[in-house]
Amino acid sequence: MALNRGRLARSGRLPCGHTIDSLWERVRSGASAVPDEHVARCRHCQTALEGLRALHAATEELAAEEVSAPPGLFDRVMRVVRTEARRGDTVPLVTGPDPASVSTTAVAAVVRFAVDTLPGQRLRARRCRVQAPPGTVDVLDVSVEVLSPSAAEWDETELRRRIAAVVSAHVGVRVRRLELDVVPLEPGEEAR
Amino acid sequence: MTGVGGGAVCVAEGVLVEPRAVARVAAAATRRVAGVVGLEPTLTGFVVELGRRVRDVATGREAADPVDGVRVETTAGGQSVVVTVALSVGGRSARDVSVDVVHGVREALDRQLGVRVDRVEVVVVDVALIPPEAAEEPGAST
Repeated sequence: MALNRGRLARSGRLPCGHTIDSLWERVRSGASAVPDEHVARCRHCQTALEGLRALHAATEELAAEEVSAPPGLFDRVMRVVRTEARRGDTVPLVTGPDPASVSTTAVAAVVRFAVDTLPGQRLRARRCRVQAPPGTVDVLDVSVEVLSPSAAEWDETELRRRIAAVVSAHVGVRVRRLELDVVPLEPGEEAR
Repeated sequence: MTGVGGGAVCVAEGVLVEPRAVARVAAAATRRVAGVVGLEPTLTGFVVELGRRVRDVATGREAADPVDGVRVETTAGGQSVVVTVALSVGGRSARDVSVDVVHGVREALDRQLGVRVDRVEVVVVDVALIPPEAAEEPGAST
């Protein structure tokens, strides 16, 4: 652009006394095409106008350009929001100089998953709490509320074994204590 | 990625490595580990990374590999790398994957950049779920 900041006597003011703001307003409103006695003769104003017209044209061009979000942006934002909610409390997976931990929310999701997918049953896990006993690593205490149709027959031992197996396979820790709170659901009552 | 603290890492006399380079190598090493679904940025890290990518596009630079979820802290006394990952289990436990990530990151930083880190920390924020029946090999018992 042809504007030379060093030639401005004061901030935003040309040596002739006109301000850049007033010229910009003329360009923006389209009035720069209307003859003005001073502007028409003044080399400072003409130079500034030339630059401002170029800037205005570029701005209009950019504003008219259709901008589309990068592909997959929405999914990424949703994933970030979801995982943000899962940060917070963690339980240790590995201790030592290079520690590793896992979000309790993620472990609770694994536990609920184990309940919900018990083969041949329509159990639903609701509240789940995961804790690492103080001073331990590799073991967890888990409590989970299980919604069960009242007529359903299922083996609690099998469910316990399944939860322990799924947590061990997916997380890599042992369930030390598992508390099941079974809530019977009457026929027609929704599990969720 | 967020670089925090003392800035570039000195790996030899007159040789400095920027935290972003450390983060990129750590991110690539993490993605190579079997069982890692992806790196999970914090909300702040995501916004910063998005801004960086927009700037790269606007300035015509080739957009760098994303390093979301990798945080590099450098201190006067040394440097540490903290890696945050989301895991796909698929027959591998979060614990096993975490251990492999630590080894992979340490080895890659040392081999590619000559950076020796004091600590690599892995935080698993998500576990991808598949039914154990689907993960079982034929004939395997529960």
